[in-house]
Amino acid sequence: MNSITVPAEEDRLYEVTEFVDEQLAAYDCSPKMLMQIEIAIEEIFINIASYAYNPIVGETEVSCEVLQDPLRVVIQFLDGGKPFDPLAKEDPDRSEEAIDEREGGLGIYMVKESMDDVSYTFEDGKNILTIQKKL
Amino acid sequence: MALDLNVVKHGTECELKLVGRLDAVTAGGAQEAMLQLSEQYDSIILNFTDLAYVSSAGLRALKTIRVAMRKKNGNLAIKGISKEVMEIFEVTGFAGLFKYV
Repeated sequence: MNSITVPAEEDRLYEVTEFVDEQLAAYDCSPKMLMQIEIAIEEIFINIASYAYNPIVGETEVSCEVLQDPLRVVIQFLDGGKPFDPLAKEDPDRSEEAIDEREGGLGIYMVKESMDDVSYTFEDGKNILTIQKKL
Repeated sequence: MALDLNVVKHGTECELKLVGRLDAVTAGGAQEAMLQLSEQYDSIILNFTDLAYVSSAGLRALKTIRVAMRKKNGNLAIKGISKEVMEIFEVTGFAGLFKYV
């Protein structure tokens, strides 16, 4: 399993998406699948930067592994910020009025809809969010 | 650069072509550019032909420009949206918020 550790800051996002793209380069992923994975990474990484660490900046470790039977990528995000379970929130209202009034709330929903599995635990003072996508 | 913005002006109409990614890194700049255009033009076409990626930060920027254009009774339409980006619009409830040309 390979991993990358970067400060959870918006402008470090591409380092994380590029790291995961490299891990997937040997597999025949469709552009759509790569986009869904990149969006999931962005939403989770930005969430950590905004909620787990804000206003302090801490590090996030992102690890990536491709497993067999079924062939799938498992990406794990580990941070030492405030305990924050992004999956605890209800799915957002997607009506026109709600969209116009609300700031945000859609990112984690997009992750849940596009990934095959999303799970959260808090262990040893760390938030651990794991996503899986079949390749 | 992760997102290029190209503006083509036709009288009171303008077309903004977004080339690249509308994400957490680029959405702020794109939103500012779109809001400036919304003050100058009654009709804006967002050309998505070469827009490969939209995350929730990008959707927020698009929502902001939509609200600004509605407030002034202007026209806002999207041109050339890809199947992949349309799927994101559909999942998030954004598909019905825009006109498409």
